[in-house]
Amino acid sequence: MSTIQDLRDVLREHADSVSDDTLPSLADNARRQAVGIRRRRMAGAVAAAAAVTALAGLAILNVDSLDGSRGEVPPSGDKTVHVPVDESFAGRTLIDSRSTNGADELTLTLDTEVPTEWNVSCWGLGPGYTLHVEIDEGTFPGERPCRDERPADPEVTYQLDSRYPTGEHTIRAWITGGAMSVTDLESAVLVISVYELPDPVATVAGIDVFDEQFFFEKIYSLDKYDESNPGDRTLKSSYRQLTDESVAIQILATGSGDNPVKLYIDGLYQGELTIPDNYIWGTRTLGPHTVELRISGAVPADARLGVAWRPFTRKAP
Amino acid sequence: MDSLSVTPPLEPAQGYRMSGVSDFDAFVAARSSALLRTAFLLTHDHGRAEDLLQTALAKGWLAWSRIDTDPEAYVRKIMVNTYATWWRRRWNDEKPTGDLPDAGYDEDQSVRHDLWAALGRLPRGQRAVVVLRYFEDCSEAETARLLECSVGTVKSQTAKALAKLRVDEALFSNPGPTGTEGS
Repeated sequence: MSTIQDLRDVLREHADSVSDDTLPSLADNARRQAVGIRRRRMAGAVAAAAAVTALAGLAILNVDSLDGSRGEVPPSGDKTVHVPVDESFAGRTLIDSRSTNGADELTLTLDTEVPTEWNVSCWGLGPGYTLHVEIDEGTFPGERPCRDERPADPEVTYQLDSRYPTGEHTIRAWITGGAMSVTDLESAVLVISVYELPDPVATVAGIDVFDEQFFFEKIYSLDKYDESNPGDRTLKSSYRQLTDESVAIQILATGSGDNPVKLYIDGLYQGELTIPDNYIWGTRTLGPHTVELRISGAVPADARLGVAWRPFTRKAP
Repeated sequence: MDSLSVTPPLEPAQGYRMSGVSDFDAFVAARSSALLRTAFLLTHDHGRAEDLLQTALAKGWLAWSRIDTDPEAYVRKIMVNTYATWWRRRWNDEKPTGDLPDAGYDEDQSVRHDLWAALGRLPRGQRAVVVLRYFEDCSEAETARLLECSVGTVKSQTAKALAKLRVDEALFSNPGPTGTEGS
């Protein structure tokens, strides 16, 4: 058993170990990052209702983690490689994929007649590098840290569901890093895969919701959902998970403006969403659970909030 | 009061008029080291700590002209809340906290090593509460304000965190800032 004093000592000891020799450029970097945040906020407001599942909404992370420029990128040449991707998962069927190794950018253009899901992954470089993604030249920009190893889930996912026009779309993924070198790039892998979406089983807060959703190597199926009426400030939803398996919580929000939406799970504040959003926020285990969404500030008349509860179904193959 | 040295919050009278680039630069130069220490305790990782601080400063810069007083408190609040929402997709499955080894850890170094490791296994909310309460010396009310939750939540999260850390408050002879003001 330890004491509070032990705890204080440990905290102080580790805080004192922090080196701040990278701080001289911090103010400049923060201002550059702020430009990116502002740009994304504006894009988010314009691009109302992007059905960006999971990680695309995490674009606020690691913004321009280095200098935000393209870095010292060597000439790419043809770096196309074949990286296997799933032919199908969670009701999605592969339409096309493209991958590259040793290049800093990858683009895929597809002309489809069906709603689609676009997944992007990047690995081999580590979190010191940033993956940027955009669709159709600037729409729904997102970014994530690169990974060292191939991630179980795609880093960024865009669902172009029935609200969006079919036809030609182009997705572009690129990597930035202040000290990017030829040696680093050799290990970089970029993968884009495009899947046909299944028919939705419901529309929640104006967003198509599908029977199955992939999340950290597991499949979660829709069991229950609640949605608010347009213009409501809050939405409360409850669910009782009856088994030892987890239940995934999908949060949806649409409407004009970019009001923050506060999220509470089981009474605890979790963080803020920004309209539009569509996330698998996380999972909970056995027992009763509640989710509350609350729009801050003025509530747009068309604002809709939704919560979908998805119990675990099976492990992904 | 124990021997913990905590950098005092910036006084508005110290002259950071939140109006322009030079003021922001001066603020960052003066306060980033202290903020980085907190970020490190939250993230347990130097790289992520720097990213977290930079992100908080970026958000602070966007609101810089609107900050009336105490920019450090403003940025600190952004930082703590940004940390709470970071990596949220990895927040799943309520992974159980691993048990700490029991006997034979009476040497200071072992205790501290285990405590640090156990801190790293705490859920983010509980880790944030611990850092604010026992490193920043925030009261329960201040912690609740920073985390945008109730004082009751702070109390319960603190109790859960200390239980997981196997820290016994009763063993601490000097109570320090453990008051319940604002509750």
